[in-house]
Amino acid sequence: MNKHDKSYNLDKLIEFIGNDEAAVSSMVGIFLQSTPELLGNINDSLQKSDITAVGKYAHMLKPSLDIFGLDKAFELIKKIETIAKSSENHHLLPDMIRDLKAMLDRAQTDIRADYPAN
Amino acid sequence: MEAFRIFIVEDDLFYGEMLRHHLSLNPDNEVHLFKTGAECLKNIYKSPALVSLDYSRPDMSGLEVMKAIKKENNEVPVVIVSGQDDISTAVRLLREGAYDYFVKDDDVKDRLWNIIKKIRENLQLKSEISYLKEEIGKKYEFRKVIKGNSPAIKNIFSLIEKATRTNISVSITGETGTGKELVAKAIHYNSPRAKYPFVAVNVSAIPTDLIESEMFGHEKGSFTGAITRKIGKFEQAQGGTIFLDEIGEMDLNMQSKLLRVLQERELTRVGGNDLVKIDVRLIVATNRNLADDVQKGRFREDLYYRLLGLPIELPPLRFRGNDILMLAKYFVDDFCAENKMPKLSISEPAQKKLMQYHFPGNVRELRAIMELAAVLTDGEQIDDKHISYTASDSPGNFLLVESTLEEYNRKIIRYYLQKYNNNVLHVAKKLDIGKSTIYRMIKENLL
Repeated sequence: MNKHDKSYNLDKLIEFIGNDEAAVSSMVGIFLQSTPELLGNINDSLQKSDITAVGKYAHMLKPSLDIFGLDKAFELIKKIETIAKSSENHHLLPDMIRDLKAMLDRAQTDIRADYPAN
Repeated sequence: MEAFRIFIVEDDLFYGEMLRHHLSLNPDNEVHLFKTGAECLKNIYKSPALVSLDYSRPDMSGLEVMKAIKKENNEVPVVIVSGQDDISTAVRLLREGAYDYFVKDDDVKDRLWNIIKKIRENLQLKSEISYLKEEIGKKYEFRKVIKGNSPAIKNIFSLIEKATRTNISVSITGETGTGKELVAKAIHYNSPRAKYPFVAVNVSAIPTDLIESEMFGHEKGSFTGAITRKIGKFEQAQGGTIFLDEIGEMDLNMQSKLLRVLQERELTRVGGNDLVKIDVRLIVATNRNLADDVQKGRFREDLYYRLLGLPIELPPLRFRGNDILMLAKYFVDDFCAENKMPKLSISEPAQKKLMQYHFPGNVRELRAIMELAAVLTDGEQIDDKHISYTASDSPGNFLLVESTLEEYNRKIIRYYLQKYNNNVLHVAKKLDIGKSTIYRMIKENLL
């Protein structure tokens, strides 16, 4: 598969932690574990209309999307965070979060396929 | 170099692991990741070189964790990493002693590397300083600096040793060149104050109207030319030793100010109001007879007794017998080693010549004489002809060099010939001797 077809890109990660297979693999593991957790937290908070918490979890999720080269998801989560921290446009959040989940589900599937150990 | 231990406190596992892997790229770094402030505190005894602390902690606030860390070990630099860009929090944390503050969105890794670099340089400088301090201490191990086996100098050793054990003031007297400052340094660097400064002040070298501000400092604008605040020598020596050389040259006005500072153990900078507590050990030196000055009213009696403390009287070199030869040899060896010259020996006649001299300039003069001799000699040996005394040519103290009567006669004639431009007739008349006597001595090459 061509690199550009992938939904993710590890260049940034490798730049950050070095080209060390074990380290990359461990970061992938953490990503696969923490991303669904944080997404779940965002969804739960949205259900409870706790928009502040949505902003907080979005903020926590943000760096990992950047590092894993999930550019579209990264742009989207920045918007989610901004809206959640503002007092307007909160009605846009459910759709945005649904889109985000779809993107991240696909990314995780791709990553899992490449790193079956995780 | 020892591992550079970094603690990362971060509950965001992803972010924490990223930092851990990233900082571990440098194999010198030993990175520990803690999820909670409590875990970090449990390990703080391992004294990390740097703590990176996530501000929004679930268990304790970042501020609390930092305070707890600082309580355990105030030296550890703590860097606060925060999720939010909040200036007032940042300012508060910096005020509480945080080393730096940055937001996660910033280029954290570059900033962290910079901080690590700075801290490492800092640590290196610190260890260099402590190494150099130790070196200085070694340099002033007094038996290595002050040399000699004569009873006179052995007595000085025992006095120095006594002086190092307490904080007593020390007054050193001795002719010029006997090593008064060396003794002062030896006392300081062998005392518990060695890790604090040794500050030497030559009282006679400071103009009278500047001495107060030199010694006690001044506040900005206290007099024309005082454009900034200046810290005086006493404050510079805080915790250490101040050495006042040629204390006998101090004028009466300054003497009374010095007395006050010594009695109160505090000073006021010139033009200032604040009292500054002073903890310094005082060593003074003079080549004058202070007791005499007291009697003549040139030196305050009360100050005299306060300064006297443990008096150390350095013997003149001429009373130190064989130390002269030992020192002469030492100075020649030292000079040759420093200038990468082959070793030189000192011939018998040269040794004899040295032993006969009275050394008005003492050890300092001996050193100069021996260095000159080492330069003048062509062979591997210093002969008597290489040893030249400049001071002894003055007529006043020629008796101090022990000679035979005949040699004294020759010296006198030589001196007069020099004085009267080798006019033999005139000299013969002056000394009331026959001119033929002088001509004969010249002919026999005795002059």
